[in-house]
Amino acid sequence: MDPSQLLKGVLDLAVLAVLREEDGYGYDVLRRLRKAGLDDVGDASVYGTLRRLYNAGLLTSYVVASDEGPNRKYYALNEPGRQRFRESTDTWNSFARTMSELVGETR
Amino acid sequence: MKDTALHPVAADYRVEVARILADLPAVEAEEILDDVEVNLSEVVAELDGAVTSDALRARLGTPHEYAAELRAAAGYPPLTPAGDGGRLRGVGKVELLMLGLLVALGAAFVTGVALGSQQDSQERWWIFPCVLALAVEAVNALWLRGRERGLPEVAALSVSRRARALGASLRTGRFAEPVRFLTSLQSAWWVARALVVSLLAWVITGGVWWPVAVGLLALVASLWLGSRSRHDRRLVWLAVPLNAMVVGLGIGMVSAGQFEPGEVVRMEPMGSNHPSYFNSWDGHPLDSSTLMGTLDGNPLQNIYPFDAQGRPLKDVLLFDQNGRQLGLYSGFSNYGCTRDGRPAVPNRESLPFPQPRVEPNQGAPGCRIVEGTAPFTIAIPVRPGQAPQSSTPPSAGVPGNPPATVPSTPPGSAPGSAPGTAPGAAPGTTRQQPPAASAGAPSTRPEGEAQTPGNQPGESGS
Repeated sequence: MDPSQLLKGVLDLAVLAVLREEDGYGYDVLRRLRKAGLDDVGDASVYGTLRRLYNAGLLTSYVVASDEGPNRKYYALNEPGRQRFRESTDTWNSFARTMSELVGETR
Repeated sequence: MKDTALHPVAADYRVEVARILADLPAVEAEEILDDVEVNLSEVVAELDGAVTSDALRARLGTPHEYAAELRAAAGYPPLTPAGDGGRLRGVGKVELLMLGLLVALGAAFVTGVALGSQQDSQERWWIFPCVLALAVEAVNALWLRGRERGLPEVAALSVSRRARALGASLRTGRFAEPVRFLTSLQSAWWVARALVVSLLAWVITGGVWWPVAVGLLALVASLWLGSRSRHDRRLVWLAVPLNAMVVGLGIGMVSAGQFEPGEVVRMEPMGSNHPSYFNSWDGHPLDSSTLMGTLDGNPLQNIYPFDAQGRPLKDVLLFDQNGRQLGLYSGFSNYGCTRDGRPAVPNRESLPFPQPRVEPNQGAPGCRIVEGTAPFTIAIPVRPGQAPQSSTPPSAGVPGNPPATVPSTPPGSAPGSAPGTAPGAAPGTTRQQPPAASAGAPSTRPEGEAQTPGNQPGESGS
């Protein structure tokens, strides 16, 4: 099974989860996701997801000057973002439980 | 200090990605490309000197794959199959769109100037630029149909980018203050252009309700268009030509000086700068001091000579005691007919009396010349008991030939003034319906009920 297909549906939740811990810029979010074990996540997917969540009003952003290159755009969860994270977490937990039971039963 | 210059290979990669994102709204594309740039600079740093196109592609995929992934994740509309290959054609279309805007702007402006300066004329050549503007606008509408509100393809044009950069530098530079002031006038302009349209309605109709109704309608439309076009850039293709037309209208109306309402009353100029208007009947210059101006405060617009029998006279020349020919300062309204636009009355001051009237055509544009017959007939008063044949003239010395009708005013009430004056009857304004004769004035009658025998044109007493 292709993990990237699975990832598509939960990337929002993954990005929200990463940002819940600490604000981050795009590449930083990417690194943290990979560090957490999501190796297949693509650069463009993370940047695109951040952009979509921001456009949906779930994130705020601010720019921090960087010594190493272009200014970094940091993203942070706002209240709607935290609300969305809680809802998505519930959905995920329920879904994961169901899937686990299903997979366990049929094994 | 930070080094913002992207590695050339990465810069090429970015350009490729930007090309595929060019259909996005400009602001959105700019933002996402900033992120892409950061991403690229991080990857370049990661690659640590071994930056090649292949290395970049191995890490990020081809620019096309990267952009497609970005679009999918960001929720942008997917690339259409023609999106990439048809790009050049797309640029051509956008440039045609800009050309269409320019042509519509020019045509609308010319229409406005023509309409503003010519609205009282029979010449209707403003129709041509108007039709051109409408045709081009129709084509523009076809191009614009189905495009995004932000018109990203237009915003991506280099000319748009340059204009935005110029705007930004103006807003922050030395002229920030005046520019901010001008920007704050935008809403005032939205009201002003509705006023210009209302003014045009006033000049054309001369009434009150039409200008008010048209003005209100224009105001609503103007405010809607103004606020809406800020977000929906497609409406710029409507707003800019309309603005040009309104500016043209204003210029046209001011240059023609036509701010008299309704049936534009053109008093012939009475200055030395128009000597040609003051020619005598035989072509000699007419002394302006012999031009008759007003009678009891009302402009003297025509003189209707009658003979003693109450018959109208034609082609009468009047002279004063020194033999100078008498003329009129002001003639009738020409009802929007220009002097040279047919029909018109040249040198009305020096025509023989009665002068022709110019009347607007009923229900049709333009006007016609009505030969100089009085819009009323007169009845010569006679004393009771006098046989008409043997009557002595009234005190004015009218010869004793009888009129064929009995006067309508009671005998004796007529003062001895010359017959035929029509109190208040300025035919240019009351048109065929002079008010009833005031008491004590010689009787005058509207044409319908008059029984004066005369009134045959061609019967000339002099």
